[in-house]
Amino acid sequence: MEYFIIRNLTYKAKAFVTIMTEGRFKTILEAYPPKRENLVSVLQDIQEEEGFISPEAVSETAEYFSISEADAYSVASFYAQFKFKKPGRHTIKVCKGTACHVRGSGSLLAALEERLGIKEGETTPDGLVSLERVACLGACALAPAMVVDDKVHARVTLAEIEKILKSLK
Amino acid sequence: MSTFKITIDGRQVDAEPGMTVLQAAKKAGIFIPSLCAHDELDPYGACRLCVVEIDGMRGTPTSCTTPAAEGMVVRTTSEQLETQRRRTIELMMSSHPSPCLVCDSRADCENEKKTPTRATSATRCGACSNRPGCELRKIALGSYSRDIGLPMIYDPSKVERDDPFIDKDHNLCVLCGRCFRVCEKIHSKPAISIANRGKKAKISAAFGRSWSSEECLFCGACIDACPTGCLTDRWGKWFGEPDKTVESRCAMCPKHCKIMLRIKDGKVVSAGMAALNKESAICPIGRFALPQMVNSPRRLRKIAVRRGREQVPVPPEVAVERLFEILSQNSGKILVISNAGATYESRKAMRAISGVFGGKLVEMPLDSDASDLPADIAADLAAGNYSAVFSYGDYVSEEAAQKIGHLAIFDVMKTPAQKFAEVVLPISAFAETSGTLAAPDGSKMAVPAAVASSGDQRPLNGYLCDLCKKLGVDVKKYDFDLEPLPADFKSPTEDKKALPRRVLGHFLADYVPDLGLLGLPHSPKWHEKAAAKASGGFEILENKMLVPNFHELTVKAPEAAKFARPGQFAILMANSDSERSPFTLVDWNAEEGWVKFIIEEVGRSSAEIGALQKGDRLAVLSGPLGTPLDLGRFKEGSKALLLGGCYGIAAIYPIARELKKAGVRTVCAIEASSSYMLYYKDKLASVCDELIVSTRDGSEGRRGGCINVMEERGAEFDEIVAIGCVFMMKQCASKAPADGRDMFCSLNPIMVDGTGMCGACRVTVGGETKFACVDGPFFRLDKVDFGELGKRRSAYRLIEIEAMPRHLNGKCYRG
Repeated sequence: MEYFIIRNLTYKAKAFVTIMTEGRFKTILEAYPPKRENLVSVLQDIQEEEGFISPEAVSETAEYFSISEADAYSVASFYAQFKFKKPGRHTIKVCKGTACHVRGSGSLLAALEERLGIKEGETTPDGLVSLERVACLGACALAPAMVVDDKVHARVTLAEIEKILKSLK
Repeated sequence: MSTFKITIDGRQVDAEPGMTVLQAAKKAGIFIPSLCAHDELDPYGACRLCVVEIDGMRGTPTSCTTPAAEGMVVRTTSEQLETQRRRTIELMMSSHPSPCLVCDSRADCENEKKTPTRATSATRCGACSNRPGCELRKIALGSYSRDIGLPMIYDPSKVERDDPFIDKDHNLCVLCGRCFRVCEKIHSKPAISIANRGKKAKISAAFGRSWSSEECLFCGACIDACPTGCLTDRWGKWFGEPDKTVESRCAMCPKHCKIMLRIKDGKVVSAGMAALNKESAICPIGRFALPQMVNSPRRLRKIAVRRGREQVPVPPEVAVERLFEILSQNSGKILVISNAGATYESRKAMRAISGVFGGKLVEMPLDSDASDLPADIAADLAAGNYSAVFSYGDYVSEEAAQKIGHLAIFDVMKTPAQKFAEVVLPISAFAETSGTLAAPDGSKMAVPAAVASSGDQRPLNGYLCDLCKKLGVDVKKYDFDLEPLPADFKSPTEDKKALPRRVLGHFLADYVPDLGLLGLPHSPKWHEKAAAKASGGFEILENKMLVPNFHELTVKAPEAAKFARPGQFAILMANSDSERSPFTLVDWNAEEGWVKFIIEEVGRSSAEIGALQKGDRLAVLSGPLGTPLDLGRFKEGSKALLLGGCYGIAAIYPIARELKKAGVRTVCAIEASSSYMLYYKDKLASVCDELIVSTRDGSEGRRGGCINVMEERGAEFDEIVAIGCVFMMKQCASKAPADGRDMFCSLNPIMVDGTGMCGACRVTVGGETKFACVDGPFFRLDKVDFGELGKRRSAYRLIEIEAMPRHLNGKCYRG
């Protein structure tokens, strides 16, 4: 029955496994008292360090705050800022704000999706690039705009995309 | 505490400090619709249905979260409130399969089908196990909303069946949060919560993992708290609302938790907690395994005594007489295997029997099997040193049983050693037995019987009492003190690892395969059986799920493909011991040697067939059977109307194909509850001149069903064929032109042999008795007694419910 998926298997993939040591978790966690209001701050610090929230991180955090993993995951998954899969070495953020949209960022995103073989929100299988869509970069005058890692690319054309992708290693 | 007055809808009602407005209204008998509010849970304010207007308060506060205050003036209905509630219900319904609620034929259909169809996925109320108890449905059917203006979202991948015991269909979830709130209340740390946000929000364990891998202890409280059919008890859900609830004590482990047994038609169909709190928590054995064990098809039912080489059924007095003879003739060489899990009375009587005849008594712990017998006894048993053995439970192996001169087996379940026994006595299970059990402190605790035993079953003490009377034993001499719960006892309600694994020598997981997923072991025998692979039969070339509950099954069957003709059917069996059920031949190819069926999952047998995958084997395919539709009646250039509903959509396909070849102008009309249940549209369109699509909720094509097509256009056609469920055909018949033109329907009654021998498929057509398998399946639509057909089809309803499969990951376990 193709509709019924065994969900656990997904988590054996490498992209979900933490590289942090127990000691490192401890340092981050103990910077805050174990009160529920600090939960998001701790998760932010973990993501800052590792780039995503691993099952181990949720497990350690839940234990520190004396809550269940389901509870901790519930909080983390509510916020769009938290990622549960290791991001690529490079991140491409395509602006889909009004100005960029009008100036054709839709076809930029489509071209990137086709070229990388992934959908927005995903990472290439080799772990090189993550593709994201953002609501507005605040650079409407430069539309269509795109941010690759920390560098803003203004008035991007389809030809430039090729160049940018080639430069990523 | 002093009560005070508040005004609700112009009525002065009493309220107590700490009460919410909703609670005060409820106490006064004023109805405010609500879903997330639950008597035993804290206010939450998620569903927004209980909104009210309160003088001096801005907007429309939710009454479930607003504390009642002295002098408050509350209005529960107003135009604004009604509109608001209607919108809320509409939003819920836009992602809750609800075609039944808006269907114009709902009342008639539900009157015809008094219990919901036992489908795998609840694609509508009529296929949802919780139809009788659904709170959302009750509110929606009230004055609030029936017509849903929003498009319906249905996602088949939201059905999850990979966890033990609990079926989850997130299509039905309204995110009221009762499940994880009750989980938090009982277990402090909830195993589940709402993951993600917005339309992706879903009740889930961390990272969407299966619940069995998480902190979930499977107490089942979330199922009891769920207001819809989202969380259901896979085995017990189809029995419907229980007739009564009886308080009892669970006897599956020494803790003897208080347990509420739900009784339906004299059967224990489910068990629950006495109250939703930490102290009343029960474990999956009490919640799920117990009802399945009590109702197991492997229960021992007949008293038997060996006469020569055969075991013959006898009345209880004869069996007791035989026990008496065995005891008196084998004094001093007797072994009595009793069980600490038995009632105090039974244990005392077992002690008395062994005491009088100088027998050896061994009292096994409840959670034990044959391998736990004390070494000396096991050695003596293997050596055949006992001439008579009385065993309560499955403690004697087949090998040892053959060496015992006189073996008497008392058991709740059938045992392998039973065939070598001289006396076999079926024992009433827990819930069927009244008696005394040990309270945690070792004091005596009386437990009443909740239901009557079936068959020959009697309580163990029933036989032993008679026996002791015969022996003239004063049982009182054998009084003993009950053991208190050991100090180091680990409660299975707090730790999955402490779950009892066996009862009376039987491995629980053998009877309740879901327990295997919680790490409980199976007996060695079970593994042997599971490893035995079926050979022979018919190879499945493809199994495609077209829409939820409907499988297109392609089977390699060259012989059947050679002879198949439109309208014929075949009898299929997934396993050699399955029920025989007829399925219409939908397509076939004589050259390639395959035939196609549409399998609609409506119960055990169809679910078993639906679970077969490519490469698996169908044990039996006997066909083609039945008289094909007489295509000679359809004249070239005439007009034919083919009506199809559910499996009938596919069943009219081969007919339409042949009619097209014959040059008949064909119109196909198909109906489904909603757009997500429509299939074969392109296939049908390619073989007919016009395709009319109807959905009951109007989500695609015209709103309504085949009945409307029949009513409006029936008179245009020279010939009409209707195939679908009994209700659909009955509806079509009621609007058919009454001028005697050619009209047929294909009947699908319960069938056994399919060759006209057994008569199970008897139907009444025009006052005459016909056999659907040989005289049919086609009969004149206007002549069939559909009332009788419907009744005959539901004759085995209860047995069919009990037989519902233990289904996991699409694999069907056999109970």
